[in-house]
Amino acid sequence: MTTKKQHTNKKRGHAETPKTPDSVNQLESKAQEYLQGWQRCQADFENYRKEEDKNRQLAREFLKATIVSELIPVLDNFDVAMKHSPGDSTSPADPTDSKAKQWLHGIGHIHKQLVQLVESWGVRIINPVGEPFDPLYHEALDHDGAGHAVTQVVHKGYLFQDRVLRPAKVRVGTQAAPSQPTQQANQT
Amino acid sequence: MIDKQSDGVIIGIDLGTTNSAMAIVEGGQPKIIENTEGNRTTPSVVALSKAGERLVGQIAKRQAVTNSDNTIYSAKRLMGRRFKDKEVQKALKILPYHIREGNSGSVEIKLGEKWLRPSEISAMVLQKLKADAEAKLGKKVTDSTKRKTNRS
Repeated sequence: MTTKKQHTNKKRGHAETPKTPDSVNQLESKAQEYLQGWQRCQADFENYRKEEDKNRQLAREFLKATIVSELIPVLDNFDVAMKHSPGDSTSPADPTDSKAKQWLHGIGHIHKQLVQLVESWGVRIINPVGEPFDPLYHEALDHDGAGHAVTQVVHKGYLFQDRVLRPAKVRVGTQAAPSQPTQQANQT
Repeated sequence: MIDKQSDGVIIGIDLGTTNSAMAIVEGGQPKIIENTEGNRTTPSVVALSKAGERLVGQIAKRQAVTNSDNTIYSAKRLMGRRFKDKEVQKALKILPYHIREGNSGSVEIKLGEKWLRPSEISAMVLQKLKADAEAKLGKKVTDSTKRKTNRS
């Protein structure tokens, strides 16, 4: 009675018969084929990894752009609030005057902090008073019929990675507006 | 063997009166492609700037207030119509750009110094969409299918 082990040895004995040159060639070509397949697989994986890195980077940028886009109305409201701050309207005799000024000063700092935060993410603020009107970055709300310069910025624009998140909403004409109270933003 | 189709891509375009959009089929499902400005729709607006530069889409729309004579919108409303059609006569009263009767009663729109047919204006919108799709996909657009419907 032959055991299972003996049977396996017989099989192995059969497999270890000397190779003919043809079978060696066949095995070599098969090995080459497997090697090339493996190399292709490695290259595909490398490409996939690069593509995934790129997609992750794009997703991060998209997320930032989305957050900034949602912050734009908040920044607009801060701009309007600072524009209409009471300033020196309170009486100097009023004991609450200095406190109110300090409070306003603090609010101004919070606004500045928010602007600095979005700028640190790579956002650039478009505030083009006096510059020629450029539809790539500006949206005209009004035109006095002559001239092609930005006379007033109604809402600032925001630029992220060369993509316009929102164009600056402007009035176009010949003369610049007398004053622009919000000058802390970048001029582009 | 290189598959011929892998060289190019087919896009679908919805040419609208106000806005247009483009899409590709990915995994059997349509997918809207964003334009170069990152928006899913492109205003169907064509303009000629004061510097003589042709502007299409969002950029053309942004400068419309400053350059109403040379900013063409709603051109699709005039496509395939005769100048004497009721719809065209109605549009004449509300559109700020110049429209005239062309050869054999057709409609012509003035853009800069040229008089163009409404279909030529729409072709400029289609060219912009095709160029944007090629930039976005990194492939040449070899074919397209267009949808054009008039609600009125």
